[in-house]
Amino acid sequence: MSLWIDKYRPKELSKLDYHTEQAQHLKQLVDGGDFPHLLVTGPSGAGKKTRVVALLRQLYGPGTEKLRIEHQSVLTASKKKLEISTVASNYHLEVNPSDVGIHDRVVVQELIKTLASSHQLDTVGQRDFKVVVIVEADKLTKDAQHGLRRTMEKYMSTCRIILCANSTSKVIPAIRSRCLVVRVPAPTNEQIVSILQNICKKESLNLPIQLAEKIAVKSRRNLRRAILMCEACKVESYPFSSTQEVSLPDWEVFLRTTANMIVSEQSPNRLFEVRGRLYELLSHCVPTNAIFQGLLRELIQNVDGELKAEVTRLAAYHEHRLNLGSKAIYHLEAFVASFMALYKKFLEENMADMF
Amino acid sequence: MSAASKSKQKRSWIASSFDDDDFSTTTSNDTKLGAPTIYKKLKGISKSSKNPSLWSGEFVNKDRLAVHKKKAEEVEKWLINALTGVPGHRVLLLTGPAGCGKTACVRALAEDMTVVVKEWINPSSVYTNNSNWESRPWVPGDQVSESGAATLFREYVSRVNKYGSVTTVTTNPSNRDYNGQLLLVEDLPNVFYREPALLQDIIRRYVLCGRTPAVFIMSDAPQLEHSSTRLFPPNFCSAVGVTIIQFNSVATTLMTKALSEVCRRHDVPVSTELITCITEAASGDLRSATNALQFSLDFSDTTKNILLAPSKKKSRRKMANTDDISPAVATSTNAKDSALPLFRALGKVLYCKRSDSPAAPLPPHLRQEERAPATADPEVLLDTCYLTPPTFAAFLHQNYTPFMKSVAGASTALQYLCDADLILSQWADGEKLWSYGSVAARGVMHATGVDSGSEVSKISTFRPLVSPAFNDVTRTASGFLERVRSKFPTGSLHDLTSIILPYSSIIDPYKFGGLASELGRMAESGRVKQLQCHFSEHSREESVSEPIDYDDTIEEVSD
Repeated sequence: MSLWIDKYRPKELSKLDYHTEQAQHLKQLVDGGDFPHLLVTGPSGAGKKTRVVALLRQLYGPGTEKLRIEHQSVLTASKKKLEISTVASNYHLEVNPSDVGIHDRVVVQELIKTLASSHQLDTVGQRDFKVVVIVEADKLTKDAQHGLRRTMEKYMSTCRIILCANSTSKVIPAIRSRCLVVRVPAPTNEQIVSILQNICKKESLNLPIQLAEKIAVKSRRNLRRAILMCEACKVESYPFSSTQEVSLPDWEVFLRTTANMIVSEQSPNRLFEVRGRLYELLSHCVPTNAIFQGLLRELIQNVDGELKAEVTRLAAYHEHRLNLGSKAIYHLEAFVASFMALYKKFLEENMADMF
Repeated sequence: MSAASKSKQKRSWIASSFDDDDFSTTTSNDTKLGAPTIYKKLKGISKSSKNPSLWSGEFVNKDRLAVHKKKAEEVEKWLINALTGVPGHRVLLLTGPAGCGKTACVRALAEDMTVVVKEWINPSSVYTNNSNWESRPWVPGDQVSESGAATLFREYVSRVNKYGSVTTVTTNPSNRDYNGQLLLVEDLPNVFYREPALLQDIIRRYVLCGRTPAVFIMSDAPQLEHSSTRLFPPNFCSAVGVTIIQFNSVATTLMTKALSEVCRRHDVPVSTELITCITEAASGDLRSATNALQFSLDFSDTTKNILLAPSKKKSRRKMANTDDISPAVATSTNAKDSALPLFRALGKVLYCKRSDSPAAPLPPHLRQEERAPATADPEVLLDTCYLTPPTFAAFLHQNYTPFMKSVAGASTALQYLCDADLILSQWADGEKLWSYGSVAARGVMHATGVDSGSEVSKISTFRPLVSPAFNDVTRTASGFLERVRSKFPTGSLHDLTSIILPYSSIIDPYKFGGLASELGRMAESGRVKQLQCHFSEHSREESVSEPIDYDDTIEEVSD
């Protein structure tokens, strides 16, 4: 049994649920026989990958669905062997180079080179180029992006590159200008509601509109999250009731408790306890920016209006430094500590005013 | 062990007299070529015409061995079995703390049995070897290729196996039965620490076809990656048939006896007080104890400058009181516990004693930052504890909270820890920035003084110092990530770990081989297991006897 997010993923451009006009454009683009390099951007859970897969199918036919996982090894300049796994069909190759850290330039270049150096066997029935899909392109190092720029030009005849990124701000302008930028905005709440209802209809379930709306709000316009939430709701209690609680991931609940602990007491001892909880989150691979966002969201709700701006500034400051530094725990804890200090001072001043 | 022996070799270029092992210097010419060398016996006393030889070499004698009788017998039995060709006696691994007489035991027994010891010593550099390979006589089967230390080692081992020693066969008409030879490996090439499989492969082959018994000697090292269990994992040893004999550190009585014996042999009067003192400080390391003894006795000698040369930095302050051999000198020369400097450094930073002299006045807007000067210098502290600045910062981070009196102070300390992290993670500028590693220490010291002021609180609670949990956490996390990647070759990790897997744990806990539920579910207690560090015992002692005067123990001799 596969998850609903995989089961009900539209496979063709014509079957997409929203941004249909854009889908039409993409279809026309591909039907022209050729297309430039693409840079698909949009928030997480907006349907970037879905569109890319559908586009490939439009381009090459159902052959793109026969996927195989390959483990490739690439040798760096310093003779270090890197293992990277890719997903490939006969027509395309999908890779996530952000796993190899600073060595991503070599990986990207080598993979494209090996793929692009061989032509398609049957050029009559097929296109004369293959496609490389690079996931999380905004996580590529600057070095890799510059390397990619050269590679893009060099193998233009045999290879097209589709980059998927959450935001274009981390993609260098040189790449942006070489690609056709396709922005995929997040679905609106109404769109999410209708998609959820469609899925439930196909599963022959009855989804009350109130619950669907509740899920849509809780999902923060992330369709993947919404569908997963809906499925989780179904597992937890079916038939659905409109007043049903929508469960959050464990770590979000955990983070909420942590935030409450921070607000309820400010002392070095509490800070130590919070550190233990942060470690717990980190050891479960919860992304650090998600921790920052979650903490901020919870803390903001608890503080007075005049502190909100300052707390947000602190979060932004520490998250920035986290990206510059190497050990996440220092910066997470520093944010917690500075919030505690700020909040305590604020409380003490208010107390003084009261008396 | 290899790091230590490396530096030992390096030092021998500068002042050979200080080397604790005469043999390495005498044979180094041959071994640079990686060729089999015949190990020459040198009686320590016979060399005394030159520079004063080290007394620690004198224990290489069966009667003078300070090893426990039973242990020595065990090794002897193995050697006899091996030399007479009893199966299953090909490779012996001796482990134990440094200076407990592993090598001395093997050497002495070998000498007693007139067995030739062939010892592998790391070539001082591979390049030397490559540049003058022509001067080396060509041996059939020898490859004229550039070879790394691992290849050299393999060739050496196989050659020991193939060719008997010419000299022994001809000159020694063998008064006993065992006139074989013995391969002694004490100094493994560094490659093997990175890839133990290489060494295991060589040993496996050696066990199959070797005729010469091989003895590997590994000192216990504090670091995991240098430990003998990593190079010789237990299942490998049992599968291949490597005998392991574990040595213990030299017992106090044995050491006292050995030390007084040495003194008697050299006609040096020595007080029992000094000997007890040295014995206590050495904590079972006979070599360092003997060195310390000789060192403290030679102080009034003219040779002291030569002896002092290699360790001048640390001993300079001791020069002042060379007139009387105080036991304190002897103990401070060889403080052995490797965790102790770290513990002291942490204590000095966290407790942060400040001097009575008034603080340097600051402008009004910085008034709240005013602190009396600290008694300890963080740069010196970092220097004396053997950790890299990032590790030291991690230790500080793990332990600073109980020492903070307010959240504001903790916040300040963390700010500096973050700064240190930023500085130290600039790997491109490498070691240069490491000299700024004391930012963390200085920051924490600054923060501990926030609201102490007049009431320097008498802290009496027990505060154990523990090692950072950070490494544990990263290990778990990277283990998870690896498993996630093996299930989902591409796709954003962010989405996987924050959305997909947590929800799939709700939908179907057994999905993805249980990975979903393991990753998605939090332990509600949320308390990361506190690692009991190996120095927790010291912390207990120290924290009971609070305020401690550190000044008389300021000198540490590392290594």
